Amino acid sequence: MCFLLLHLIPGSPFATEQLTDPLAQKHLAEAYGLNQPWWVQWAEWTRQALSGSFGFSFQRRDLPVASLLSQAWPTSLLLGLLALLVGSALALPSAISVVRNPKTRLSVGLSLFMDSLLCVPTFVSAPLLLLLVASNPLGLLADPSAGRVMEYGLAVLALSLPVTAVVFRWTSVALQGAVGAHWWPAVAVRHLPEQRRWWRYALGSCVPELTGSLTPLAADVLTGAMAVETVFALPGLGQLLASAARHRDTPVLLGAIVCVVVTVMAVQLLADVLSVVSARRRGVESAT
Amino acid sequence: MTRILALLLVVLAVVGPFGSSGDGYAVDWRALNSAHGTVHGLGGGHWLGTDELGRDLWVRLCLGLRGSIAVGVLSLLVAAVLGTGLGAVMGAVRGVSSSLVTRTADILAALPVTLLALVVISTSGRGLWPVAMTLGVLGAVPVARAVRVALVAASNSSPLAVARIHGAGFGELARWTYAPAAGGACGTACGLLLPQLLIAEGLLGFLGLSIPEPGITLGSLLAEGSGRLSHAPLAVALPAGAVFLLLLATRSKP
Repeated sequence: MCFLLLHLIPGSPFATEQLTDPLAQKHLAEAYGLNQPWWVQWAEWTRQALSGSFGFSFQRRDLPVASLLSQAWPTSLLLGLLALLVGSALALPSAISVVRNPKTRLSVGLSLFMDSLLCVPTFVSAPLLLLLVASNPLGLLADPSAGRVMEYGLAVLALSLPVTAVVFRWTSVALQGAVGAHWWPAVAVRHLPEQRRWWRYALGSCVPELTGSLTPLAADVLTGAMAVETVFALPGLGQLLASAARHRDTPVLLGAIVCVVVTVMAVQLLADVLSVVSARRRGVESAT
Repeated sequence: MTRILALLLVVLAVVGPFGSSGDGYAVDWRALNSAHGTVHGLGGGHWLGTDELGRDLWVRLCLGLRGSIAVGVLSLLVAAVLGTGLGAVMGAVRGVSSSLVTRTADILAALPVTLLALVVISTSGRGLWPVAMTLGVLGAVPVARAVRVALVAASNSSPLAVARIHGAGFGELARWTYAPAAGGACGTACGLLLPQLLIAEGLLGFLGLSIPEPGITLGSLLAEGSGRLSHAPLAVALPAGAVFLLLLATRSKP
């Protein structure tokens, strides 16, 4: 679909080049196979993609797209995974705390804070965090190696802030549903430790809802990574996408989008597996 | 409260650029030459100081707000008109063609708007209309799906069956049943869509893919400012605050 979009819209990858000579433009189009009909180009691109090659970059001449992707993909995967972990680690205890004691000042403040985080997208959170440490109040950036670690940590934090807000919202809604369910009073009267009751039974019952929402979250994280990787100069998929879009580097753009789609599909598969496992465990627990 | 905030931001976007020095592009050499080579503090005829190039921050902030709101509102209008039309067709026409359009909409809805917008804008080029049209067309997908569901539900409802039995024509049914259902669904979908469009535009602007210079959006201001944090921290903090307030004003409470 992205391939079709790119070919249906008027324009050319070489429109920004300073090529006034039509002959030079013709030669470039021939060299990159752009003079072929779109279906021939699509068939060739699909054949290459299936064999793990996405052609050569227009911007960085003669550099295979596959090698660019193999360098960038792990960085984004690690960044996204850490952001999801940090976001969940912040959101889940907060959501349980708010649903357990909804009327305390702490809960009200926490809810307001989490709601306000939804209004802080990554292109805002990343520069703000960088601004926060730009003055280097703790002297953490004095050592270059510590500075790099600090930058990576900030990138993860910037990406995890919107994740935290979204996971908090979903978990709160799901927990409220669990607490209102017919089986909750039965769990409440059993003499179980408070933590176990909330973490195992209440949160455990929310796994299908949470895993169902994992796929759009993964897509949002990979999109948000574009700003974070640009601000912190991390050589990831997001930075590659942004750069390819700016320079009309079609092969890199399509290759990076395939990577994003494959990642999102893998997350979807993982979510489905988690949901099935959780449903089976709950089935066994309710039978015993 | 959010409506008052939204109104204030719109007023600021319209009237604000006439305040302070009134020019967001002119370089104030006096501001550049004082103190440590550059002055980015308050005063000197600039209500919020200047950026690292001596340009009035207040005016640039209001112009950025105006650019972001313009793209957001234009793309929302495109999404509302196109989405309602497409949703009505999807709801009215049954068969293979309707299924084909619905499945295409489902596939498009599965991909993030910003990613698809990147693909389109990288080829079609930057600018107010290309970006607004791209975001509008992509934003039309969820609106169309919502309108289709509302129309299908309305056409299967009991009041409609009763109205048909009593001899109501298509015009009357459209006026009293279909139009309110489609309008309500469109309004709800657009309410949820607006912050997403603003975020997508902001990210595109941040990546240099929204309105090109001399046009200004909040995203492009943030990108400019984040490159020179130590020289002009307000050049980042102010657009960041404006994006926050804009999203706060447009986000509906769950």
